[in-house]
Amino acid sequence: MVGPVVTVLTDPDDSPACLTAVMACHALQRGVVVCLPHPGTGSRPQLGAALLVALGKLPTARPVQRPSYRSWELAGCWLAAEPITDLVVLRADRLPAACWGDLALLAAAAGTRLWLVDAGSAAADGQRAALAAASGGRAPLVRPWRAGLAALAPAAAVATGQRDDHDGFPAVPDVEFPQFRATARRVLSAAAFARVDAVYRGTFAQARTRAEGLRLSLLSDISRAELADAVLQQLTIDATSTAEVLTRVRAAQAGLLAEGLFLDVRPRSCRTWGAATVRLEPRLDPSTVARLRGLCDPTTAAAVVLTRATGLPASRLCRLRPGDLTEHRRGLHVRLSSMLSYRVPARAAGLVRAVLARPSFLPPGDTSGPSNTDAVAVPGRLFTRPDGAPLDDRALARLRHTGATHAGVVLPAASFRNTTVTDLHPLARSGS
Amino acid sequence: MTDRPRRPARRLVIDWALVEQRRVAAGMTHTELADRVGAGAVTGPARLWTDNDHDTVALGLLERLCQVLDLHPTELFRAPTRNAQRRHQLAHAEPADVAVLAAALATVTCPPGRAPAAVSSARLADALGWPLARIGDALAALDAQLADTGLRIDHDPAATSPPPVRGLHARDRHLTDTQRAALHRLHNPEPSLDVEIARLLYAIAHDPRSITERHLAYDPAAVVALQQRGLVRRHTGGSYLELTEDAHYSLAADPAPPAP
Repeated sequence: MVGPVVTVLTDPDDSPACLTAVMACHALQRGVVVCLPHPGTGSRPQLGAALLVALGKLPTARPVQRPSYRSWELAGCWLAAEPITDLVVLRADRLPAACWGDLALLAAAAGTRLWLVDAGSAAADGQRAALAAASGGRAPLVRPWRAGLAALAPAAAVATGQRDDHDGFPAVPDVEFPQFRATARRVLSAAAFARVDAVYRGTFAQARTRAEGLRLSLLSDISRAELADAVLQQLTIDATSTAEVLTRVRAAQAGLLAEGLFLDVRPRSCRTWGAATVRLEPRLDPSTVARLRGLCDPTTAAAVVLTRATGLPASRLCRLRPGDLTEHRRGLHVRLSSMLSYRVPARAAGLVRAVLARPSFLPPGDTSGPSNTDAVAVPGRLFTRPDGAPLDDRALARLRHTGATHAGVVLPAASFRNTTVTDLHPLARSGS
Repeated sequence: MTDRPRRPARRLVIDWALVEQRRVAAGMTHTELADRVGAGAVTGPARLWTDNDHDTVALGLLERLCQVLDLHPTELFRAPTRNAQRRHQLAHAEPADVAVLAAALATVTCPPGRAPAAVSSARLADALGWPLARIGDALAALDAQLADTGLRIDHDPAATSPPPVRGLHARDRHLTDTQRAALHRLHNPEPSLDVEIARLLYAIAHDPRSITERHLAYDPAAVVALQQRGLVRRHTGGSYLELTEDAHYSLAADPAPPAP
């Protein structure tokens, strides 16, 4: 693996074009963060606050109402937790030499490439020396700013494609799963159907692979509603629109039926028009994740994201341990028991991952660098107070309510709470 | 006094395909239809389906058939050739989408003697043979057109009551015969799939050629429910049930689309 590289981009003319072009490269979803420190920034807390703003944190959200001693540690925590590949600092020539060294250490700890845009005639010797000292004596690369922009440009093209991919999932027919794909093919245009069908077939295949595990889980004492909710959560949490959720639900039903399982999203006991039994709204779509990214406190962000992802009550979330979170294809698996697990999509995984590296228990005077999970004792519970004491369910409920209010999102209950799953195999054998 | 030239006898052809379609739409098995109409309606079809020779059908049987299946006597017979030609000529002047949609909504939401039933835009699009986007555009245009008249179309898919669309008139010749037949089938809201229906569907998909309409292990109502949805059919030339192309396409996630 190639280590992080520090590059100084020179802009001797201090041109507005450079500022505009580099700012346009800012895109959190593809891992490029552009930071523009306030004039007069000269300390770690101030630089940390600027980095937090660049990372999408809301300055008004607690605890970053003002530059505090925690800003720097929090910036390091979020930089390591989020999939950031490039950190660009504009007007870096206005920062003191110590900040250059701190930034190099921070980027190295997070595994991020650092780009320092030097708008002066030349970087001062002290700044270069601090950078070299922090980089183990290696001199930074020095390139014109346009060359650096060219290095970031391919990623920009990819990001545009991703944005288009998330926009405008076609409206789909609201019909039962045995008719869904054929009806969609009839009533959608060829391009729209191709997009819907790609999602349908992918989810169909995933559902088939999960069927055997789900059948075994049906023999346990876990309620069928919980099992069905967990399976549907895992299959639909990547959806970005209501239509996509519906497509994934229908594909999951069809895939499970192919394996002899019937997933009933409207059981007979709940078939009243008044009862909203299934919520088809996407739970962690990009706009919601962008709002949640404004939360600065890792514990609060993780509590709100896990609630949005799973719909679990606080009494169950507060019992989670760090070992219950496991990495899975850039996302996270949240394991409640051996047979019950939920999933956090890749786009929101960083918001939960930060709680594992949170600096809340570092002493105020310890500002030697970003937090390191190896250096601290892993607490027994995932959600703890700053002093390490576990949060009880009432405190966690209050915390996530506060976080949701700050982020401007709601905390809905589980989407598929009233679904149920039935094994058709024994019935089919006994009937034939 | 001269004899008037004898006009050739016009042969009326009963549209048995429509009868079968209405039976499935009404949710009746063959046995239930025989109980209500008469054995001739069920024991006869093997002979009547072909209808190549001039079979005599009792008038009472046709009358009961019309009553039970909610058919107008004129619907029971195929249109004479001259009428078919006339309709073909009129079809060249295609009406506007808004007019067709208004006619469709009037047909769907005002069945005679029944409470209006909600219909999803997907089923409407399927019945009319339109893309979903075309339905959306036509609905928006109709909404705008009706804004001054006080009529309102309720788009809420989870409405607690059926959409109260009244005052729309189905003008003649805006709907084709196929569209009208498909719209009539929308009168009966489909019940949700339950375990019994899913069990039968799985059995047919998993073990083809082993399930018939009279299989003792399965509820005949489940068979009819699947036939109503167009998911299963009786194999031509055999008595067993099989998945339709649509159902196979959806349930197998086969990349190859069904033949049109």
